[in-house]
Amino acid sequence: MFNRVLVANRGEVAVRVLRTLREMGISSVAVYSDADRDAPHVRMADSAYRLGPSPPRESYLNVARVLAAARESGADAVHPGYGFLAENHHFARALLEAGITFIGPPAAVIERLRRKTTAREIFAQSGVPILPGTLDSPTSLAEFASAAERIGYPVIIKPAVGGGGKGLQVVSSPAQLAAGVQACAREAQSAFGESAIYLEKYLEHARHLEIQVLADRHGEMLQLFERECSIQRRHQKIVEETPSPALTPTQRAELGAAALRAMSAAGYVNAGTVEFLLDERGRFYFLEVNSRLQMEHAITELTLGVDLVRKQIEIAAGRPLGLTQDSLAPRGHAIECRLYAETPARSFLPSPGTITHFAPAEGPFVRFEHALRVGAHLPRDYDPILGKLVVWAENRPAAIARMIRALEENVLLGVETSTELLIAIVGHDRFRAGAVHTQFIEDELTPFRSDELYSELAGAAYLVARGLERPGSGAPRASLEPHASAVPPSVARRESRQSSPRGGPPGKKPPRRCAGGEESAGRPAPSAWGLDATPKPGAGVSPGPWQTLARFGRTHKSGKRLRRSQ
Amino acid sequence: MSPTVRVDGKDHALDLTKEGDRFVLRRPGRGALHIAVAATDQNRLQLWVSSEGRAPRLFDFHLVSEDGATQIWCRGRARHISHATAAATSKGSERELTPPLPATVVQVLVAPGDHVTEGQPVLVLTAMKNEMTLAPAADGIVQAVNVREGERVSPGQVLVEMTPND
Repeated sequence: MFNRVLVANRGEVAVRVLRTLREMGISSVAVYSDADRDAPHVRMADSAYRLGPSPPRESYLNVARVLAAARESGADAVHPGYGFLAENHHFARALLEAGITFIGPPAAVIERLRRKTTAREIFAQSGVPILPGTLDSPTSLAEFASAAERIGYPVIIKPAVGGGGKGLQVVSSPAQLAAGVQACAREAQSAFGESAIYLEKYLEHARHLEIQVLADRHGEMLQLFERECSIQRRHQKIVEETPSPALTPTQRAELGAAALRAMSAAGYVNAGTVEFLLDERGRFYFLEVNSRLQMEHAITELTLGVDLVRKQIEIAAGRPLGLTQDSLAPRGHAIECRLYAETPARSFLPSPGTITHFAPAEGPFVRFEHALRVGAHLPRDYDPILGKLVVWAENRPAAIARMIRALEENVLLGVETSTELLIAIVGHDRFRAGAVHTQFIEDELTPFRSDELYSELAGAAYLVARGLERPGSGAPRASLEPHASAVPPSVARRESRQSSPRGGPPGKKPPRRCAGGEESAGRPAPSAWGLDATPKPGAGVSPGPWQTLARFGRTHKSGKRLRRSQ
Repeated sequence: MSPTVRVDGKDHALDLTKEGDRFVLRRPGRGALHIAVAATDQNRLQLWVSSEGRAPRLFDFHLVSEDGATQIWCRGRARHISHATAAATSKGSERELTPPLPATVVQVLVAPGDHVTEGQPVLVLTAMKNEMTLAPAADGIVQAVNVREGERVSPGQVLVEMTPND
């Protein structure tokens, strides 16, 4: 096993990998750019090396700098996380030549699969259906036009290398083709340093499914079942789940077998993912291979009970998988939501800024991976990802309820976030019914409108808070004091534990800074609550706050008043 | 009176009244919400909210105020709150009622000579599809009502004149 592993990444994924390293008793090395000097991943590692200025090309994407840090730190292996150098074969090769193990597939395999046109060829030869499209990267507009005519619109123009949904252009008529080709080539060049692009049939209302694969160096290869990643914005996944509500057992077996067949043909080693599209008639097509760990790996970890990062490290160290296909039986249901600093109501415009208040979601079967803290500045130079919120439950409805509860509990002030949209997605009737596809957000939740009720409640909360802090309007209260008159004992106990002995002075509040990490009271989805719905039968005897108190053996004045008023 | 609170740039006239140690938020056509404070903390306010005939639900609000701007996190999003228009009303004379924002008069509830009490609605206004009521900040006697129903009115315009109730 390795003695020291360098994590060539930042943010939540670096934190994720560093935790497993610690659990494995392996010394860890972080790298950082100037913007990240003080970042959580730096503080979590046994040692840390500066790469350079903040722009990725001068830091996390700089092969020479990361290699120098690996050498200097004495690391015997490097985990690339996802993004940055994770699918860079030059980097994998440079490490190999330096005698340092790259925790991922061999450089030659990365190189073969990173070019999507090559990957399509490999999969087609293995008998896996591929979408109609160009076999290589045409260089003239005329070639694109004739391919599009042959296949039929709509088509999608894609960069031949790269990922993250960058550069993808859906073209629905010949008139848009030239603009789409130019835009894609331009973005491909700027994002991936290569302007090669290709064309594929665009499937509307398709589902995005993928198969997790693990392979060791001893010829053992397993498929760890599917993840459904159909909920996307700007061609980027934001909600993922496993198992997929769409697949029949036969389809599931077919997809798994297809993935294994083609990945074996590609000579794959370590963790990787094969992505497919499933059309409305239930036919599947190979999309691409991600030759790395993926952000959504956590949902597979939860349903199978396997630490994929640990497996990656063990495989890279030459250990056998230690698992058999028969031993892998998914249990329950897992959902991931990716939280971004962005404004859904403004076309997902990224929202950089400084975090002023943070209370992370917690509780049973909730996993929130992030690198957030109060005072942290979200650097402009990197992806606006805030973290991944993952839940597990015995079945899909329970997982949905748990995800909504966790999203409601998760509080972040200082930047705009996609949390409210995620609540709307997961709570949506069509999502609950499993009727999702890659245009779900465009079709169902665009433009995104926030529920007026919560604006009103926020306004009312503001007035109530002002009323409480203004001396002379009722009894003045210290801001930290629980409302003894109205508070159930359970809440009172919690507050008194958290409050400082003296509290704040009544009246003016001190400058606000948050204490993060508080527990919070979440509840099920809005539909389960329905303030505006008609009362349930027999609602006349429904309990009020006073009855909550009564359960604790107390009666209460205001409660009596409220009861009379009803 | 109904203070107007601006939430994410949109004005909400909130008919929030304090009754004992709880609050009632009256929402025309949508029923009232009963609100009780469960607990407060430096950055946090917990409220029980219930509509008629339903069990109360605990809500968490997280507040951060900086440089006079307030953000309140409520169910998945920070709402940006300001109180500017309401502040303008509360500064108004106790004897002259003026609207917090450009609005249309929906209903006149008083006539000259009426005795009115603090907080008693005297005018119903509508603006930006929101209905709000205008009420005096102190008890008094109505001297003049300067508007009719359907009239468009602006801040600063005196709609109702009053004298103190000795």
